[in-house]
Amino acid sequence: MMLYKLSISNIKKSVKDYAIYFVTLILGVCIFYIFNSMDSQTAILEVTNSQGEMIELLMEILSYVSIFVSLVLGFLIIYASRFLIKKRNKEFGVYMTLGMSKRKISFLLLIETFLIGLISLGIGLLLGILLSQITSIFVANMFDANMTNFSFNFSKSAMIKTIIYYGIIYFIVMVFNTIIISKNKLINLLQASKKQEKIKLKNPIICIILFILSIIMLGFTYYMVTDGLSKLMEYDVSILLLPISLGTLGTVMFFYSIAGMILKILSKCHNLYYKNLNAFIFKQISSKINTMVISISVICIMLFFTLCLLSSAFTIKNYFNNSINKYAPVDFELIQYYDQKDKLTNEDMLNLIKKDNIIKKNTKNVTIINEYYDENMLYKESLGNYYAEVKDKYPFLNYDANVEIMSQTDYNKISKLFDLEKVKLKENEYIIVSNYEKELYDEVMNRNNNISIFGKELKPAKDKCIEGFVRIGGNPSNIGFFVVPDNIINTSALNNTLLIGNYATDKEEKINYMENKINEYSKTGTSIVADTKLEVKEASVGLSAIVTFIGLYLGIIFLISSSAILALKELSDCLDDKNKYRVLRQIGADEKDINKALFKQTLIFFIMPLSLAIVHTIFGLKFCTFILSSMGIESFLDGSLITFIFLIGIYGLYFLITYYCNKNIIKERN
Amino acid sequence: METILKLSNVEKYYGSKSSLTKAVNDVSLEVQKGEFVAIMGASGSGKTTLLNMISTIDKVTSGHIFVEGEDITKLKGNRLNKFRRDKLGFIFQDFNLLDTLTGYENISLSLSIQNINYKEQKRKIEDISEKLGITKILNKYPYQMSGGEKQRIASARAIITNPSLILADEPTGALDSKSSGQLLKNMEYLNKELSSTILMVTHDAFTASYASRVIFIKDGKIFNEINKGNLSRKEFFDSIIDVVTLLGGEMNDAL
Repeated sequence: MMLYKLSISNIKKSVKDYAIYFVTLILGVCIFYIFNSMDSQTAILEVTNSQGEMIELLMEILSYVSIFVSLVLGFLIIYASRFLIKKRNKEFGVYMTLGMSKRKISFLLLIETFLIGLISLGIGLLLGILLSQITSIFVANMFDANMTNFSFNFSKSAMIKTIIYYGIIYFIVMVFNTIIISKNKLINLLQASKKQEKIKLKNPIICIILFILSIIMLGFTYYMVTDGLSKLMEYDVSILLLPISLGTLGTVMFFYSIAGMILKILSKCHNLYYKNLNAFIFKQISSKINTMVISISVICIMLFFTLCLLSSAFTIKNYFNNSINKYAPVDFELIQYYDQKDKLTNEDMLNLIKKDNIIKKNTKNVTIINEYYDENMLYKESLGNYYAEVKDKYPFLNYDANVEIMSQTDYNKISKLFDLEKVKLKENEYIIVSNYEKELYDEVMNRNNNISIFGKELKPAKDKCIEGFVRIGGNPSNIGFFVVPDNIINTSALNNTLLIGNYATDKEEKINYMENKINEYSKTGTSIVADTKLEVKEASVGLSAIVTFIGLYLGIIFLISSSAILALKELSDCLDDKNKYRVLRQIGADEKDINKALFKQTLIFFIMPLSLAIVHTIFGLKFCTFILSSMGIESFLDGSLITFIFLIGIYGLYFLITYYCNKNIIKERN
Repeated sequence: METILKLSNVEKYYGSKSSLTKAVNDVSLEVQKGEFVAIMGASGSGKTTLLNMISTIDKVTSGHIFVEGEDITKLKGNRLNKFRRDKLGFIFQDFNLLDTLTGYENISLSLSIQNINYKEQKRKIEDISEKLGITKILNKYPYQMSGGEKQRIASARAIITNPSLILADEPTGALDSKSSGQLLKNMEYLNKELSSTILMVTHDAFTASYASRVIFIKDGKIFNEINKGNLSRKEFFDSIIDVVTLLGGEMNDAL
């Protein structure tokens, strides 16, 4: 009972010092709950079957990610409680001199940890439940679904899961705390605050050399993942380890050397250095950075991941919404493939469909297009003398596939429907239409390769191909087809026929009815494939939702972790430095200047890893653009903007809490 | 003679009405320019409380403290810091140097917060370092210095701004006897050659014997006061010991 009272009063006394700890725990619990309660948030949505499957998949992936997240949070909480114990070393020392056994002190700590855990779990869950009401609107937006009606959602399973996961984390924290306490020696506890700081002196010449080296390394890494990327891609995927390790090493060296180097330069600027408290501020920051090179590098890299994750997550979400209208400009597309046998019997299948009364009545802009093939015209031959080079660069392409050929008239029909560039070919000309790895065929046309189609020699109509496609989808995927003058087509070499059109209605029931009707055709046992805009939309919306949620989840957790580590380090340092501020007051430094010194020092300490992380991110996103270019993503600007808001919110919150806690610590209580 | 410091009926109470502790009980004293005054007393006698009030770290319960005619008990906030900056110099038992700064930087900080430019700072620091014999340790960090060296840097920091009054709180408390002697000779030099006014709190008779006047405090009140006059340091030491003996058992550690 005594111990219980003592621990309660301890918590009350140190609520302010626990601020960072509390905020981190509460945010952690809150985010954990929100992402795990996705099932109840989506339960109120009107979703189709395929979306339902996507949500199930999302939940499954999220449950795995949650395990990883709880590991990260567990590590963070252990780290945080180590700081809190360190701060209270003297207190524990006094308990021990009073004859309290280590077991009892551990027990005291256990009660405290338990109570703090309980309180933050409660608040975190409450906050999570409240916030999940708001996020469910966001979720609905993500899935592009309508909310049946807005109602309070609460996930019992998510709550139980949160409690269990946090229970386990807390159990481990308690074990760790006990170990730390039992290992401590009384003398160290009592004298913990008296230890004199040893300044790690670094040779400034070595610092400057290392700094230049690190800049070169980082610069080279940046080059490798941007302009040098095509060169890099000639090697195996494992070559990516090179920029990763070079970038990491460069980051560590950067932080190892920057403090020493800047200090060297500044101490030569006498008028700046020996002005007001500047010498003190510079030395504080440099000693801080020097003592935590590795942590600060880890934080920098973690922030870099966070920024990339969040930017990508937001960008993908925005992108999918825009790209669907571009790459699926019509409502439906039926494709009939022929092989030798049923060529004649089914030739008019699509024409029959076209004459179907229901289709006739409910659709518009219906267009039929034929695609042909030339037995002697395989993909590799279509590349002409460029083939050898391409094969080296893109070993994964299927070079023995038939190239599809379309008549000029047919192409112009879809160009009208899809809003593509029109063509007008001379008798002996061809042009290629492509939107995936388009530069391959651009080069082919640029080289002025003559090709032979259906036995007729043709030359390129232009020096590059047209950007376009004929199959609808969620992203650019047309590697290329040939458009040739109508009269050279050998009509017996029919590869497939497409029937493209729009629904003549806006009504939802009608659209659903038509969707079923269209899909029925693909199930009739013939080789007909049906694609509809709605399907494309659902598939990509679901996919984008999954990618976005996971990116958000991990991004936010990483952001919280790195901010919390910085904040805790800064706070514990400030406790050690309390006496320094007292000295400043004694020699008569202005109160305003002292607070300014504290502010500058805290700010620079927070900005340091962030600024390098931002530079990393600028180049990292260029790399992401390349990776995601197959999806047609060209800019991360919008995504980066939202990310920036998130960053300012969470990182800024931690910075402010840290500054105010620090200010409170150094305040003299008279 | 110009009066630098004047305390009139200063009192400091701790605790509540039911259990009142009078740490400092109606103390009045004056320190003239160029004096080296030591305040002696056992632990708990109130001597450090007195020093803290003069240095404005602590507030008086009643009474007034005048430094160069200005009532410092009326000062608040920034004017307090400004007062400390311009009028006071500190020397502490545990040196209170900033670990992250070199000796030179520790001294220069006192000047830079007075907005003195770099050239002037350099000239002053070089000047005082020569006088105190610390030129060689200026570029060392505190952890590389001995206790005596640290305390000499601290003295240089205290004197560099040319304060009206230097306050020293048990300056030899953490030093061995050799370093103590060196430091006290330095302080004597500050007092005699640079005519600094020094107020020092100590419980050590040997340290006190370097002063020109010793004030004894017991239970928060001034108990006795002796002047060095024309006595040699040895003779002054003996007369201090006499008072200490009179003061009774608690001060025996002063021997």
